[in-house]
Amino acid sequence: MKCPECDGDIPIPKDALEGEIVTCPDCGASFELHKKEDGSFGLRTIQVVGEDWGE
Amino acid sequence: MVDRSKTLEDPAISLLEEMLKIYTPSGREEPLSRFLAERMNHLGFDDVQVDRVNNVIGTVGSGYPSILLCGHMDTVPGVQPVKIVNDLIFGRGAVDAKSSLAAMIIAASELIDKEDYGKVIVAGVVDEEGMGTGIKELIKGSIRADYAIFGEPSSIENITIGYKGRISLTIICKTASVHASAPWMSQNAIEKAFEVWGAISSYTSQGKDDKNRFNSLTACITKIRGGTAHNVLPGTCRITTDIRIPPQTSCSKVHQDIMEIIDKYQSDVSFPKIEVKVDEMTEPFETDKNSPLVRALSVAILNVTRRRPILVRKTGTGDMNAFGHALKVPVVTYGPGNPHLSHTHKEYIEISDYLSCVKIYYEALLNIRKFHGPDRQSST
Repeated sequence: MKCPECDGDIPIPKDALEGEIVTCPDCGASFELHKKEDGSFGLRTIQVVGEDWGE
Repeated sequence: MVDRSKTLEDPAISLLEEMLKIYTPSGREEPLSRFLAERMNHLGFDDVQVDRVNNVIGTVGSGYPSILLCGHMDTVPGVQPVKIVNDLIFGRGAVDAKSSLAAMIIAASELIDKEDYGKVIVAGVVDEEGMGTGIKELIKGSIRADYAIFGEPSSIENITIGYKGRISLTIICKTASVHASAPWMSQNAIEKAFEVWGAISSYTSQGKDDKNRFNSLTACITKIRGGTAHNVLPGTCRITTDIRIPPQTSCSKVHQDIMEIIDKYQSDVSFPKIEVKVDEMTEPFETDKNSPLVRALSVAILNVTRRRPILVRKTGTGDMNAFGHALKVPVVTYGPGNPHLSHTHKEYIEISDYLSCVKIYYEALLNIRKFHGPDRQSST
């Protein structure tokens, strides 16, 4: 699957689940996997990496 | 609402309740260490031992991959009554971090009758809230792992993949102390120490990004001591600083830059002598988001909670920094509870989250074996 940010190749595991986080090995951008109407996976750009304080 | 009679029968809940009843501020973990050693033996762990600093370590399974589950037994000081109210368990350490350690012990024990999950090492360490004696001893010892999960509260759907590094420096300025009615006769140690701090603060503010604090260098003064009387020009000032380091740089680089700033002041012969002590230095650490460990935990969270996992970078510093750097393996921090209740006087854990976390650790351990792949040899 092509990375929407850099067009790099994002490998999708054969046993991937809807809602899983996948990360582009080239640019490091992360996406959520979602199922499209035809049953295939798409990449959703939402915040999957956050920031917090403390330990 | 949780049925109280069922609660008492649940081994996961009774273990946590018993752990909370043993008060363990840093340096006083031994009773809990002995208790957990006995309990882990009873649950069927192998090679249960208490090391020389009172870390308790036990294993289940064998072969590869080898996975470390590490939680700390100590808490910050301050007794809090242990009580169960509806779905909540209150008590010092309920959040930070006895729930995580208890959940790790129960999850690992549930693997004992299974086959082919590799080797799981569970370690309860001492002094995480102090000087990190426990994790340092663990790293010095013979423990090796392909993956590690550290148990700290992250909230049930959050996986902590990165922590900033930390340098704690004490800057000491000494001058001749004189009568305050004649300040021209010497130099004010507090004012001179602040002049140096101002330069350090300007340096750490370069590249500051309020929208991305994880990737910014930050610094603050945490302690200051100077002056002896209202009418004496201060002859000594000690400023303790806390500097947090993003993964793009390193503690050694930041330390070197700060020493260059100080050297500039010291090249001026009229400037008072400045001494710098390094109190602590922990390098930043971030795990590869594509590692089998991150996927294993993400999939377990999805399956158990039906909620979307979130990967979190924290501006604090954790035990996983030292371990990840020493072993160069994927490490994350994960555990139940609201992390913002840590170190407060109202620590509580939601029982439903705690029990979900037991399941998540358990599933994650099985997933790691699956995603690690049969052809990859362990480092152990």
